[in-house]
Amino acid sequence: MRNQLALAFAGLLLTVPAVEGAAPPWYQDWNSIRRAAAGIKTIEASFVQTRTLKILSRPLVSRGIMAYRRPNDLRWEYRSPLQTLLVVHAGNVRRLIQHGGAWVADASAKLEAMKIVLGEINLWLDGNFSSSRTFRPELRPAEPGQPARVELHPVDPSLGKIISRITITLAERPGTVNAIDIVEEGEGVTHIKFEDAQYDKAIPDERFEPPR
Amino acid sequence: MRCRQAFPAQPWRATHTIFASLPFGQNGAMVGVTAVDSAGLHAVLLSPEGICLFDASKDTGAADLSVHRAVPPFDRPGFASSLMSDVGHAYLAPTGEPTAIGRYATGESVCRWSQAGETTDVVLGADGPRAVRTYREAQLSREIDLLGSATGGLFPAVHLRVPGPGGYVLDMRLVDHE
Repeated sequence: MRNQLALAFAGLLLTVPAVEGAAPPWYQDWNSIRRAAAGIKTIEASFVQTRTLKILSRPLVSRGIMAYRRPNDLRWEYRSPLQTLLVVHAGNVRRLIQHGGAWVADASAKLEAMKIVLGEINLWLDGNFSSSRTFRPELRPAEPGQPARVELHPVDPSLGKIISRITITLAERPGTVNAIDIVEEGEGVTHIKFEDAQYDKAIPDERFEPPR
Repeated sequence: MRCRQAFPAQPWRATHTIFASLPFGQNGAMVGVTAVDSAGLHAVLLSPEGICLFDASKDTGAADLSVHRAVPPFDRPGFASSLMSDVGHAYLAPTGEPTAIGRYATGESVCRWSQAGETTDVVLGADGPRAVRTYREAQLSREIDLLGSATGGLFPAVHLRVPGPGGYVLDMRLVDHE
């Protein structure tokens, strides 16, 4: 799941409705999305994740940061209330938990749902939704008051029992994402909103390696 | 009674971070959400990413659990009953009055409930409840340390240990409650 979430490129909201004679939006089809995503070399952003549950009167709020460097480097770090870290670099995937002042390996990386999603992450970061074998994508054009978005539906019914769909809200900046919603039927929604995004700045290798 | 201060007064809902130390060095981090009221107990486990890994409830007086969702490996036999037992022992007061109130040979004040082959001891320190220990057939089955000062009966940190070959440790830290 964290892999899907890693697909976040924070940007500003609101999609400007198309104007006749104006240039087509960057998200008009899968090819244009892929071309736009390819123009992003690095991303760093913070995120706020809110989780609604029927048994809670207010959502659970988590906060973290992410970093991405093309083609395959990723850092997805939760800072509160849990401190966990996912780093992907040079083909190596490490998932760690902060406990007792030290980083320890996270066994939940073995969860099948996580592994499936991890396999998708590079596709998403490439804007290459249409090549996924795990999710069937649908491109929803912008409407008044509603930005363009990509809806992902699990192909495998067994994954569909865990995640009913993922909605990726596209941002105005070409190749970027404003928010992600993970919908679990009967179990609420996880909403991830990206903030303070920085693009195409140099990111050192250490950001994608586990802490020493 | 001071011993009952080990458990929050109902109804309540709470969110905890959980660090689980499992056999063979397996570790995991989750968020636990618990709701308790006169109708029963409802417990949910979430991954850090918010994915619901486990969702179950037990109605008051009911013999069986209702498991609404269990993602592998949380669907393995015995997990649901074990988890609900962990939650119950850590956060639900035993029913009725204590069977005995006294002191361990080490001097600690203790309230004891003995019901249906299980014994629950609430151990008191100078400033209130410090631990809950449960025994089944005279063997320690769970040891729960209550750390910090409670707010509304919910302690900032709870350390639960299940001994034995398949044992595990849960470090639970209170995030929010209502």
